[in-house]
Amino acid sequence: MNETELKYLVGQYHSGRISQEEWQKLEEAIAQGRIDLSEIQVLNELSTSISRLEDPKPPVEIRGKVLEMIENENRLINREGIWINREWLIRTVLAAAAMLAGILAGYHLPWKSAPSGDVEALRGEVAALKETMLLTLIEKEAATDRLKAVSYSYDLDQGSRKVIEALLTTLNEDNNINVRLAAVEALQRYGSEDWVRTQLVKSIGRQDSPLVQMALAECMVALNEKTSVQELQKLIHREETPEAVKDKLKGYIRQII
Amino acid sequence: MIEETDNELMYQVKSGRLDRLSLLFDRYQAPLFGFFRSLTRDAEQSADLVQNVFYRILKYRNQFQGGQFRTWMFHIARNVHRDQYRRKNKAVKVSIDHYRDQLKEEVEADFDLHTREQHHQLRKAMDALPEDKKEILLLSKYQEKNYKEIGALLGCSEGTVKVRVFRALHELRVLYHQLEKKEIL
Repeated sequence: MNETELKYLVGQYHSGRISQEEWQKLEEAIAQGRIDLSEIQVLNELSTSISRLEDPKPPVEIRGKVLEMIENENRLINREGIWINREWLIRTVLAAAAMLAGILAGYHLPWKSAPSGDVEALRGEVAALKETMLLTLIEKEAATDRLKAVSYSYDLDQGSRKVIEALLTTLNEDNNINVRLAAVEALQRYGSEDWVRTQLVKSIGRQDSPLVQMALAECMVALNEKTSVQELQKLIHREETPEAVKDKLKGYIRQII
Repeated sequence: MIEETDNELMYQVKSGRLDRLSLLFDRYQAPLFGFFRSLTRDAEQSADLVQNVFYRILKYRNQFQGGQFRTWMFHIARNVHRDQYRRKNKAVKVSIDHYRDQLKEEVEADFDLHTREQHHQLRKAMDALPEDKKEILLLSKYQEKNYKEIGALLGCSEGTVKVRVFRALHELRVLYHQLEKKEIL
């Protein structure tokens, strides 16, 4: 097609008398980049008008919520960092103590008494307080509150049955995907308990979001939970499961087996 | 002062400077909200979706492997919208006439009456478009007509994107004129 023919096609479009055959040629020329969309003046004007449409103003409160979300994630990272440092510190202290014990044993130095029970009691009170906050926030209407509640579970060294059950209810019933994703992550920490693993496996079939399904499948791989294979296979056979997800799930099953 | 690019900021987020995400949020909250608002016609839901996009950016920051940040972000935005849509399991189909009653006037004080009327009409025509056509025009707007990037986002060639934009614009033009006629009669 030469220049004249291309111009003719554009002219035909503008006139509104374009035939089906000419329309096809016009589309081919557009796809090949021989006619630029900006050359079709009426459409170009329309496209420019769309670009000039002002965006509606987002509600101001979103900013606060997103900043809070960033802060929460920051806290989580820092906590992980502190935990690593704490582990390193404990190991170093233990090594140093063992060395010192050997040296001092020869001099028959007396042992210091164990720390009083006050610290333990205080630690218990803080944990109880955090647990109460978690259980309260997890019922709140705002998703950010519920996310915060799930993140509090990381502050608890050991989750009580009440906390784990609340997290499981969130995983199965929360209408926000991100909250459910966070619950999967949090519950994985309690995967050493048989009943938690059983509940996680049961939850696979209850999820309709491919993201949560995949997160649970990844969790099953991490826990090497073989009883989950049947549930994962059921997902693969579901008609509505996207093909890409089915492929991923097959990969996870191979890893578990 | 030289402004940092989107990618520079995103790499900083990836390396652990999470506070830098607030700058990307400030840049993109309005286009994202506009994108969702046009697709859902629901301001409250759109605000939630914007928040979800940034939650996923934060959560999956390590998966950013370069390419244009904006394209990656809109890829996430499409997924967030699709997940929400699946969950609701129903599309809100609204006729042009019905929408006329529903549409809230947007404040566009800077525009003259004629432009305001045109934009009002254009929004109504956009809302009457089928979902896929509306989406391609919105992506075209927010990706500044970078058809190659839109192709990468949708998983098709640049040429296919151009043809899809052409068809969507043509249908929009027809709807726009139909609305104009209705207004006059």
